Amino acid sequence: MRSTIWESKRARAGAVLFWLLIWEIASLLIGEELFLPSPLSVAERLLSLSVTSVFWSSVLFTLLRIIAGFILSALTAAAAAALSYRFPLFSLAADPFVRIIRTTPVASIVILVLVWVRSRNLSVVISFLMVFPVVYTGILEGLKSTDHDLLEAAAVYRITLVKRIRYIFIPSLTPYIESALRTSLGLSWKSGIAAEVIGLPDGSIGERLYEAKIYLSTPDLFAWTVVVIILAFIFERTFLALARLLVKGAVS
Amino acid sequence: MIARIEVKRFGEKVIFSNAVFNVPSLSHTAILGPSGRGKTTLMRILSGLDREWKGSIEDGPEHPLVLFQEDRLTGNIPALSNLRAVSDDAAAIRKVLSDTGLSGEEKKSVHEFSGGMRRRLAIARILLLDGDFLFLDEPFRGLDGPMKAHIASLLLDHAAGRTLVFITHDEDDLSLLGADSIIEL
Repeated sequence: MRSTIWESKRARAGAVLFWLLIWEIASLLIGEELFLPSPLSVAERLLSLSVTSVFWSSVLFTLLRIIAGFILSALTAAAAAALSYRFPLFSLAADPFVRIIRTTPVASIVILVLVWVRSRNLSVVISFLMVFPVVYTGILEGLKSTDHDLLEAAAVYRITLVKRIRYIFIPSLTPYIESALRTSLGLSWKSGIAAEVIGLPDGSIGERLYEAKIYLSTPDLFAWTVVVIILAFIFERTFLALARLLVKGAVS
Repeated sequence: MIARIEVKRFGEKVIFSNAVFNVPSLSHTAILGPSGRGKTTLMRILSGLDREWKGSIEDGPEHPLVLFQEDRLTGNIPALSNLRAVSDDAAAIRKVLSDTGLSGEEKKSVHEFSGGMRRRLAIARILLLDGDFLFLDEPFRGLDGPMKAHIASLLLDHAAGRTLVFITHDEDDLSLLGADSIIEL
């Protein structure tokens, strides 16, 4: 009963309000918008930004690239994980690449990628590279933990590969896919925006954030950050719901 | 089918040594014995699932149909999906669901099923499949009373024209499945 109350939407909204209150108090105590603008002034700035065409074109610019990078990466990583599961040699070859990408700082990768790719498409590549190891590792782990007894039964019952994927592998992978998606969806936004702030592609959210920093416009910086948080939240919810729907459709 | 097992080990432990097992064609052969004597191992050898042993098999199965001791169902999907995995014949699926008393339960996730329902679902899946030998490892686990007798009659029908090999602890099962040959371990 207690956990139900805490998990309710009302309780979550209460937690958000609590932190907004802390923010407001901190802002009042500091008393300087340059260091910490109040939630209200950030909201005002956000409202005024949202009626400009630059706002929506920047949102669209970044959104499309991060979605493209994420989807391409998730699909490629899933295919690579399947190949690694089937062919140990492929797994051996992929392992160093995955390890390097996972441990290299985003900033180093961004700068390196900027040498090869136009800054306009930087966030696609960075989002792709950051998502790849998470999805690859998650799916490969899930494939390896698929119940061998079920696979043996599938072989005895001469179940086709397509049906094995639908009725054995996908159900077994579901928790791994969900966990990998949760982590990588947030990561695609963090890394994509970081890449834009470094590469400064024209018309991106990263460029808006950088401008806010250059012109010491802290409310703008906060407003754009709020935009990114909202976009990442909607993106995560939508994508997870879509993934669940796809899985449900596939196994029924 | 004749299996001549020179040796079958699990690590250092010898399970069978210089043993010969005869399963007459089209017979209903029961494998009897206390736990730990290698009943399931023998069934896996006879059905061709276990190939890590020394010896030979004559006239073994080409397409063995095996009801495993464990139900081996995908738990987090509907019961119906477990049946669709082996058959596209909707009418046949409806029939086996009805025969095993699972009509109306097919949309539930297998996780929601009791042990007996899972066993019936595993048996329903077997009824949708074809094979030259039918191997049943403790087919009535979790079933009792009239349901057990009913399932036995379904399995007997399915065994018609096939060699049936089954494992049981319960001697009453011998008559239920019409055993005409016994391997005692």
